Amino acid sequence: MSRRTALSPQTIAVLRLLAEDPSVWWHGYDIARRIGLKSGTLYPILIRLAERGLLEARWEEEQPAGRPRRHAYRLTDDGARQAAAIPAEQPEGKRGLALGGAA
Amino acid sequence: MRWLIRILSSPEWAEAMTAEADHILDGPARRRWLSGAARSAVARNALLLRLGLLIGVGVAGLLVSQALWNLPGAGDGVRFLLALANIVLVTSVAGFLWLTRPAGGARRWTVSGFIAAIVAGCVAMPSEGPLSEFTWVTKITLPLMMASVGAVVAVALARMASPDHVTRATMLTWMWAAVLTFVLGIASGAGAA
Repeated sequence: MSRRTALSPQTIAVLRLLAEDPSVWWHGYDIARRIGLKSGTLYPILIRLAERGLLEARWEEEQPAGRPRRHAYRLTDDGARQAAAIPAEQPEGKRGLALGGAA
Repeated sequence: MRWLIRILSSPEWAEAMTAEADHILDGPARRRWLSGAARSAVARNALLLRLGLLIGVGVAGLLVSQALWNLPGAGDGVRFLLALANIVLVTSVAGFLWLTRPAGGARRWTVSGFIAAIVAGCVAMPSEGPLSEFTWVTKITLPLMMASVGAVVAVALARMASPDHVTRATMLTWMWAAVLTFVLGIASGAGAA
């Protein structure tokens, strides 16, 4: 079953950032700083994208001394396609722009 | 906050949020990160949120009812008008909940603002308080009532015309201004009493 939800400007910003190079793994704090989001806004977006199979998450293999391993994120192929489908000239958050994914 | 995040989030995401915080060297920034993560964990937990809202509205309703019942020197007409004002307020809250339903954060802030205003009103409503005079009711409750009803109508119209985030944010800011005006009015009234 397919579910379509309107994209928020913040979700579009995350998708666009990650789509700059879909092969690159990003950390949550770096995404937040680049886009200017707070963690309370970023994590629901990441969780939602991951639940819809648009975002891939993994734990870093290397553990820094005295600190826990970090979670890293990048777009899946589906996510990259969704990001590419966002018209560059279309204002963010417009009705009709939607996120499709398996529910 | 870490405890709240772990309780309310899935283990993997809770670990992701807290581990990320441990890599932020700046103390205030780390606390802000954890605070935001905790808020998002609470927001995603619909059951807890609904329960919290229900308890908040229930407590506010009980306080209002108790204050109205004990209002000194109030005749049936005053009690009727106050009850009517509170019914309209609650209806406004319900209307706003419905109108802002896609915006979880906005909804929570609006409801918490209303509850804060109602509780503030009850606190400032002791036997010799400013609301023991009907004059204060007309000066404070009625303007708030009109502002809140006006905001709901305005948001309804705005959402029909343009459902963008800027419109919603503007309306919420206006709503907050009305609530703050109400609280300040209560506070200044209490000071003058």
